[in-house]
Amino acid sequence: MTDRQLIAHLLRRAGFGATPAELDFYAGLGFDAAVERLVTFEAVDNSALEAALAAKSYDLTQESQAATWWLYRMLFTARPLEEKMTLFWHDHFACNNAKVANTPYMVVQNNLFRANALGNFADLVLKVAQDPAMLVFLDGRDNVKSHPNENFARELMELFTLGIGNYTEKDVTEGARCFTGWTISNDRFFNNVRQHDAGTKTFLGQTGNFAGEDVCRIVCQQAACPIFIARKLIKYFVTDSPSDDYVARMADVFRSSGLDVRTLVAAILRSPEFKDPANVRGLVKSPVELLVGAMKHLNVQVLPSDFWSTLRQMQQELFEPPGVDGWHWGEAWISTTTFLFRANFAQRLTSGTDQNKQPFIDPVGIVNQAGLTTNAAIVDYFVDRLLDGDMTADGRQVIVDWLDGAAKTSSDRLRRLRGAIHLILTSATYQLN
Amino acid sequence: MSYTRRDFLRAGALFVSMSLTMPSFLARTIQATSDRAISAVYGRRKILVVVQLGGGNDGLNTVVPYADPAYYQARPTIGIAKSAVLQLSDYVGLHPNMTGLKARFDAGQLAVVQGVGYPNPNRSHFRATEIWQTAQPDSPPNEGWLGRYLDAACCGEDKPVASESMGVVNVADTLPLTLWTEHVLVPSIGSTSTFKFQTDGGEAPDERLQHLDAFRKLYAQSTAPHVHDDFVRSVGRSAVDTSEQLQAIARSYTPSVTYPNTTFATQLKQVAQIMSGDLGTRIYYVQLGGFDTHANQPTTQGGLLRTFSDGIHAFLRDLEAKGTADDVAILAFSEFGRRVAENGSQGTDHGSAAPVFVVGPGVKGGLIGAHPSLTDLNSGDLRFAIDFRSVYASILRDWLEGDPKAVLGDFQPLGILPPRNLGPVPPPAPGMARTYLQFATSNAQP
Repeated sequence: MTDRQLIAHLLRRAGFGATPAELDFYAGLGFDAAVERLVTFEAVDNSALEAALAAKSYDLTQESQAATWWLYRMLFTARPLEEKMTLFWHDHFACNNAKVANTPYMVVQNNLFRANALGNFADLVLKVAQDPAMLVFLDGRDNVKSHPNENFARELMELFTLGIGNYTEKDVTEGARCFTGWTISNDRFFNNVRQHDAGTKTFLGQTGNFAGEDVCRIVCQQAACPIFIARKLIKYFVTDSPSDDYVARMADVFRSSGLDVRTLVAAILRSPEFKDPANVRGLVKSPVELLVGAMKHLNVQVLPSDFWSTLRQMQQELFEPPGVDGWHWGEAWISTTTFLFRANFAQRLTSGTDQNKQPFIDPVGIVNQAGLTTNAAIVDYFVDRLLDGDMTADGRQVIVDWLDGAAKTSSDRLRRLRGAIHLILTSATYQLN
Repeated sequence: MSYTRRDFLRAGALFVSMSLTMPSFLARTIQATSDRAISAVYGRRKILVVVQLGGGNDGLNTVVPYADPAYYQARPTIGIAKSAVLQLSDYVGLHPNMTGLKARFDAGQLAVVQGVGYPNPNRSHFRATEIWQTAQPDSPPNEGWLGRYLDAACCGEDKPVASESMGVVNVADTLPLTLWTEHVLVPSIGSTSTFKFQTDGGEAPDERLQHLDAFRKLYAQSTAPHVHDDFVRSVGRSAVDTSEQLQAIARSYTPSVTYPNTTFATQLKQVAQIMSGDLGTRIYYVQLGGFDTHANQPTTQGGLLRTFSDGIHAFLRDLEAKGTADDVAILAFSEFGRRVAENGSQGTDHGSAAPVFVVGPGVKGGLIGAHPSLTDLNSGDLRFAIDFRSVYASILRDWLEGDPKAVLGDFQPLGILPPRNLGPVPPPAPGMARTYLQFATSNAQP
């Protein structure tokens, strides 16, 4: 693996892929400095993005525009890991607007994830427990002393911090009692003490007159918590089948740091496993990674107002994870149906036009600018740009043959060029991250 | 490719195994041909439609024990009035919105299997769903129960890496664990209208074929050793081939009834559409979600049960008009029922045992098993009486001609799918004893 391929791998995992210019820039830094810049993103000036977004003035009370706003951030941010972690938390503490039915709440939650993207995990758990969208989504607002609602207490342990097997049914009912009275008032968290069960509870082996804060603290003190979170982040960034030893090493780093997510993510990105060639293209691209990545690779500058619905078709609609366990990653992204939607998204980029009726890409312009004079050179160029060179000679020949089949007219030639890029974007390797 | 008698019997169960080297379009032609050949020799094949009611459907407000005062004590605000219930017996009745299924019950086509569950019920949506989808409560998820059946039916001992088949179709965009297999690729078809591989659009038909050909050549080549490469290439090839085939079928189907305007009914209409193409598909999987009614249950569940019941009824009427309804049995389940007592939000929390429905003209209708007691509870939940794997065993043995013991372990099938001829049927595999266990449908409650 070349240094440039390693940087491309880093930017696909810690971000959503890179434009040719971004790849040049990070490659110039070298791997270690690139990681440092990604994980200390607060130091990176992002004012160009914020100014562009201000000019766009998306209506964040509309779900489709909020989703487009977020996609715009992913596409044009100077802090890719910030958005990649925001997506991680959205998937981890998954709430969907189908139930929350309040887009402003979803945006507040999204900003909470962004502000705590690489913060302290225990702090984030408490903030999420008091987050209005979560209080709606897992029925916390209906959890009152006379009728405890177990939904949040259960998922807090099962999906957010510990995993099945690390708590009992009794902990669920006792945990629910601790959260009674936590509700929403005037669109903000409100602790309604009259609805709180002030009795003694026994939760995960500890007994006291606990409230929600205590539950959040106690779950994060469990030995299972750093292991659970480290494993999930490793699966997000590195491999979907990590060894127990790898997870244990990263969990140790996380525990020793006092559950500092920045320390954990930096350790994962710097681990030997991250650079292991066996793990390059070892994950399946999620639809968001595919869509944003393809636009960056091809340097598409216009974000159409309907690409959020393209993500819905590919089964990763932002603000709409299917359930509280988030999206199902890995091979679950790719079914015959979603494969066709992925391929047809690629077709739209290569052959379609944006809302201003302009083609998304100008293949002839790219070819001329790069000074490519043979079909073999054209194929090599796009295989480098889109796949970091990861295609066999036989595969390249198939695309060269396709280009060679063009008639002499310029419209035929253009269509074949679009088709060649489409074949690379729909290749099996391009579906992998 | 040559057939042995054993292969042919397996093909009779579902489809033939295909070698990896054969182009998938050719393999599919052979499979479709062999399925038609089997139809000609042995008569029509039975078809299973699985409906997963996601989120945990509240069984007590679906099959309502209206004659039990304990029901109304446990549910003072969300209990369904006796006068509104669609009575099935002098003890239970269906939710008032389930008129379609009531008609099926009256026609003897709906088996209501009561009190279905398993030991040590899990109240997590995800784990409970996995348990129902794998039928393996004690091991981590690997293959689905129908996936194991498909693998056994398709591949036997000489297992290829992956076969493509229209033997089963998932009508949704993502594949449920139930259909996860080791050796068979199951297509997921969310909508036939968008199920098409688009090329540029400005080209002549011949150029489109060249584009598809280049795609297929790329997908026939193994690339660098990426862990998911084989998987992606299998799905990609299947997607392109299947979509070309389905485009042709979609053009020739017309529904015989007006389906309700719901996503669920549209999915069932799509099942009818694919059935009309006679591709040999024997299993379809459809999902209806949203049953996790912790709050405001009456409105939410009432709407969902209407969607469910009306959709099934319309689907069967469409098939009846086309003369193919006798081929179809529908299995509907949810990952758990809900607590007996309502909560303070006009809802119910996660519970355990619940009814399972098996519907179709080939079903022996009625109430199966006794309704679980509302007073003899297990931590506030109903006790199960019939293991869900007995329901699956009935389907595997009596409808899909499979081996329930190999797929599920030792569970006694119920007598809900009596053998009936859809025309000549294949001889049973050797050693497949058929004993039918009849469950009393007594409504007397302890």
